[in-house]
Amino acid sequence: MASKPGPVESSIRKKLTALLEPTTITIINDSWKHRHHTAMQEQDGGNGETHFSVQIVSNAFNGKTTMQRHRIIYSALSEELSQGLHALSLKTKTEAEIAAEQK
Amino acid sequence: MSTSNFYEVQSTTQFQELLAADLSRVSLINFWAPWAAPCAQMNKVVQELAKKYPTTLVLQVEAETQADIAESFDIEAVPSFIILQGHTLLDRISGADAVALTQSLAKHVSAPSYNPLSRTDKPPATASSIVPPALQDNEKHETEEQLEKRLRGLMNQSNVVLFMKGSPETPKCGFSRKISTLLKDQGIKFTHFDILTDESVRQGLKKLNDWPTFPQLIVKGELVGGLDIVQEMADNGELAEVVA
Repeated sequence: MASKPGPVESSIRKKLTALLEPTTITIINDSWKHRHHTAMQEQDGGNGETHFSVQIVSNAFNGKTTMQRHRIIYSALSEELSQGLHALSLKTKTEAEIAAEQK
Repeated sequence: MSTSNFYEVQSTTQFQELLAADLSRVSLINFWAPWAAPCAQMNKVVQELAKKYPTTLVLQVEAETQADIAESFDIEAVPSFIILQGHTLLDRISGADAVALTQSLAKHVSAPSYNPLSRTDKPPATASSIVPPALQDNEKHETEEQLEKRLRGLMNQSNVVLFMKGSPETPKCGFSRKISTLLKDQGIKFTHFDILTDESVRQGLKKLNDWPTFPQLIVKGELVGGLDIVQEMADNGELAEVVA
């Protein structure tokens, strides 16, 4: 069911990987869920790359609050956000946090 | 003896002027020639009709001497009669048919070609000087400082302010819906602002809070985060602490 990643998804992956050197990074395209929302209708349903869920595990997040982590990601993707990328659902963890969760 | 609505046309210019003088009236043009016997009879008929319909312009045109006029109406034989209203052709009768002419003129003179649905002699109403809200120029032309002041005012309008798309009753985006539901479930009282109604707030707040998306939850005048962060804080108990 996974189709080839579009340009926005590829850009997200490339930039965040370079910036955060994550242990794991998962990107899911949620755009289809939001096609019919008012704001998307104005853009004719969007280009199919408007909403993503991104899960990153990276030690670059150590010592940073959730808000700071999100800000890092937003600022890395500011170009995409000013164009078609509409929203990001973010889960940001460090390796230690993941390990603790899994206990 | 001629009535004031009857003219023997001497020139094309006169013809045009007479017609143009009143474009709403009906006119009858009688094309004749002195060598055609039936014309003599019809000319008399035409004069009677002129008397009978004083508001109708009646023009007698000698077809050969006024060749241009005759040609412009494609007159091929005399007598011929043209009934106009202004410049619009209503009817054309060829030959000395007094009955047809009388009937046709009667029909067109009595029935105006259009009936206004209402008449008034009053001038148009003056426009209201009050601009309805929907048409108001919403670009407030604020300076950046004014906008920032307004944004801070909005962020501080209550302890917890949710800047969202739509309203908690009618959210216009999945994230906005989730976060307002979450706040309700947590029993947190909040006010909201629909950023879809105000583009300057929408763009200004993104800049001010250095946060590119909505919804944005503001607690005690400060950005706490979007849905993800608020969700996390709800899960680990932080949210209750922050709003207290």
